[in-house]
Amino acid sequence: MTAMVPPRHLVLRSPAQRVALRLPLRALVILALLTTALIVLTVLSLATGSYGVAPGEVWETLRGMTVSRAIDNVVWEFRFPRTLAAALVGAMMALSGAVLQNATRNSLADPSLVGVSQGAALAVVTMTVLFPAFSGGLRPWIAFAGSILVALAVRSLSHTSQGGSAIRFILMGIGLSAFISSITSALLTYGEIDRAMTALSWLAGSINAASWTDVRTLAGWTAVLLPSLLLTSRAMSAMQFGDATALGLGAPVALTRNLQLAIAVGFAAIATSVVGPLGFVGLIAPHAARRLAPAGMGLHLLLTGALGALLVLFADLVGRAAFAPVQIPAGLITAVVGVPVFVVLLIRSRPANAS
Amino acid sequence: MNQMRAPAIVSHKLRAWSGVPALLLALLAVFLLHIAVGAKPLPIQTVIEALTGFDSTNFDHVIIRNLRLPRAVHAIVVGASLSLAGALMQGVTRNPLADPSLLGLTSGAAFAVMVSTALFGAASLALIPWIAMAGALGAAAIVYLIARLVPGGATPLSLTLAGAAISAFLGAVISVIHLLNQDTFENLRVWLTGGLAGRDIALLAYVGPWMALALLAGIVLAARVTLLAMGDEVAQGLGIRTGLLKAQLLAVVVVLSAGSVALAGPLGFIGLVIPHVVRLYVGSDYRWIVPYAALAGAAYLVSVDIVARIAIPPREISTGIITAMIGAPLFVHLVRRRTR
Amino acid sequence: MSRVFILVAALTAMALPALGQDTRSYTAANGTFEIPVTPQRIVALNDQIVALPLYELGAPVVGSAGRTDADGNHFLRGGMDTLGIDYANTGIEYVGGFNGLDVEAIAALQPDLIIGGPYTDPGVAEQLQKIAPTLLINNNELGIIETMRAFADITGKTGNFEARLQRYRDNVARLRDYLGDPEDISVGLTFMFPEGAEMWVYKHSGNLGAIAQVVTDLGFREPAAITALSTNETNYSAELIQDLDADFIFGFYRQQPDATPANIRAAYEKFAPGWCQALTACRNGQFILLPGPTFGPTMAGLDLALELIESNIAARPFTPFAEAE
Repeated sequence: MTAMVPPRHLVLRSPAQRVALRLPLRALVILALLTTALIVLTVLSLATGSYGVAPGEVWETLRGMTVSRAIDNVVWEFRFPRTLAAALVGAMMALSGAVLQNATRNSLADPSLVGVSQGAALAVVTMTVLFPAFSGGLRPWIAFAGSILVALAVRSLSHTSQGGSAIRFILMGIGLSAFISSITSALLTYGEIDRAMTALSWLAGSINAASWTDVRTLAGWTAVLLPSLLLTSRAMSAMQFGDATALGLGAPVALTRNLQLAIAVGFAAIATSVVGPLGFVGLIAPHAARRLAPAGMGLHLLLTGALGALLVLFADLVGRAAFAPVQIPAGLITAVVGVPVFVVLLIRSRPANAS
Repeated sequence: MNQMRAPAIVSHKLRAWSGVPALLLALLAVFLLHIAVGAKPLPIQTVIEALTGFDSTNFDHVIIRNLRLPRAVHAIVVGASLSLAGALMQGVTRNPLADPSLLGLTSGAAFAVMVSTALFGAASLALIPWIAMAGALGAAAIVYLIARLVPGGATPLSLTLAGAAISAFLGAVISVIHLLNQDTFENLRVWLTGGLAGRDIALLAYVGPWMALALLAGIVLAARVTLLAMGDEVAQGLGIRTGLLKAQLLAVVVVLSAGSVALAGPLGFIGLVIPHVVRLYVGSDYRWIVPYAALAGAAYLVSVDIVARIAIPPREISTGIITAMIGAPLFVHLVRRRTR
Repeated sequence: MSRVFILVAALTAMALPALGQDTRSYTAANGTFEIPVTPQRIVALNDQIVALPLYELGAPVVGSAGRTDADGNHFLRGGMDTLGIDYANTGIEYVGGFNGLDVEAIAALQPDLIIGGPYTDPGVAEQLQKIAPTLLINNNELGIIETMRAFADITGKTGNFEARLQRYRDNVARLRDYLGDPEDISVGLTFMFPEGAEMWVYKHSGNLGAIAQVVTDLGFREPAAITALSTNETNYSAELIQDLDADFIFGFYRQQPDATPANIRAAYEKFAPGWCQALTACRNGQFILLPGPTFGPTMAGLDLALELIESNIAARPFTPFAEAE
């Protein structure tokens, strides 16, 4: 543990010295910076869009005054929920990726590894291409059901009497995902072209239809899942060094791993059900966080979440405003913007730790 | 102890060898079957006539000679190449998730084809293989450069991370082009699933020799991959110049993947899964994994292409789609049976 | 005096849309909505399927989804070919792609009616309801003529539409007389993509726009192999291309910029070498490539398609195909 923590710490002690917290200063500073950036970007996102609204008018609208019905709509019904949804989804996907990378000890793990993205994709593409009877309200539920079913299938197929190994889990994920993706791509390839195009834009991960209902769903689940995740973070950091070490340190390995997988699937499935399979954030945010500032597991998770939120919020803003009225799904901008950032971090970082 | 082990090794080798002719036979059998069956039922007499005395005015002969035969040959070359490339990638990166798409090879090729089609239209269709090759090479070069710049150098981790990042980037740009420009999506949506229909046999004449050379090189290098898979220190301890070896392997993988994309589009699954299947049977020795992967990959792709052509006549399914649709359940079954 | 009059007139004109918003209820595929009796500012969520027929009917289209070409220019698909319209010469604003709509750009146009279809993202349609009633018209279920009739009804242009439809019906009846027994003439519909990796075959009732509608209305016979298909449209094996033989086989070009007649012919050859020799229709010069962009549901498209079929079948001798039993 000490090897991972850089020399400078903020040490908080309770009066009787019974509890002491050692927090790496650099990570705290970066977390504060990321949070500030998130707030700035949120403000920017509320003030930007194809519908010309002066900053003063935005402010008045936010204070509850009605400048015009149209502006009320644009700020309250379009921009605000969309901005919040983007940040929440980004954080959720990033956290899901961080947990999966830790639980499977594979640096390439992301929500698509456990079949969450593919399950949701198949469910929604099937609905869009074969039964396009305007079942809009059902879409999040169908996507959620798809993700959870496939994740459960991967888990149960990789489970054996001896408990199942990490490699078996990964192989099952590959196999099942490939199967499901092949059906999805058959539907996209041989389905009616306009429906396929509609499905394609959902598959790219787009936040343009986010409503307050979506925000409530995302926020509610984050409020449940994030604390549970932070509670298990101690056992998680022990597991970074391998199952044997973790067992030696007294961590309940099997229980923790199952709990973590459930949390990871939960995060990804909820986020995917609202905006579609938003790839890449889950893969890079944990790596980027680790390279920005080494930190203990709890703080690392917070950094990862903040990075994910920032990335997707920025991507959504660029996607809807930069080439307006052309709209580019956030999932695509996430990759286009995130990759160069990630590559710079990769090149400038010290050699990766532990893994 | 030594006496105990020696016969075991010999018998293992014998068993390992015995699989090669069996797989070759299987490959020959599915190859002949591929030519003999299709959406249109043709008597075996016609099949033989088409091969011995070709009459270009007889459409049945044309079906055998110009539709089925080139597809079967394409399937063999592409199946063997992708599978072998995947096996080498997994050995070098020591990551079971590695496949030819990982270093950005497939997405680089697909990206180059997409962009040139979007920009230059049909004029560039004949150039697709060359463009694909250039795209794969370009992407691999960028990935390698990034990995070299990472402190610690081109380790398996930095290579895979850089590869995944570049793949995601190119994939996203491809999707943006698709979403914005429906025409390219309509034109390329079948090509992008990977398929063997309507492929030009003349192409194989250009690309084939290079791929054959790379296949041979892969088999020759295979023994040293086993050591590399044990870790760089072990390999160096045994006198292997790991940097040089990795560069050679990379070149082999690039030629095989780029050639495959040129011939069949970005065909997934085979490079990822066939090496795992082979490993379940022959263990972790790359001297066996590599040739077996090549043969099994070829036989597998020929077999699924038969299914793609006859499963639901008069329709055809894209080979790339059927590859995973049939293979994935088989793979899941194998993993369940073979691992604990 | 006159200045005041102009001012009053201008104010009245501006206020009219707001004042004159008598509404009525209309039931679309996504529910029943209160829509203006005479909508003044309509936004179409699809160019080819919604904006073109609305514009043709004389409805006030102020914005439409559209496409983007390789150079990044926006265009109304099929607009130039059928009606001679595009964003540049109509005052219709671009509001994004049909699968990537900019809701704020739509709000900025202050529409009083929005019309989309089965391709419209249901979540986006929900959002748009906050701007103006948003009707989703299922053109796939209704077919071309009923879709146009629905648009005419919604925009209060039923009179215009029925008159043009009657003229089309008369033209169809006349052509049937010229042909004698169109039921004896078999017609196959195929579609080839420029890169020649797949060929699609359509039933006469398939989703191939104006041409399919005309072929159906004329009552041509379908080749048996096509009638036997379980779906309206499907990709087809090159080995079985001879199943499609008929008196006339149609293919299409110009659907994509690189789909020139020469490219499409080359694509058929690449897809099935020797295809033209294998098909009697092609050997006899009765395989005909038609320009594709008449697919959209407009009366202009129907009229054009009818003329194309008439000049290619009625106005010439042809060798009938003898279907082998």
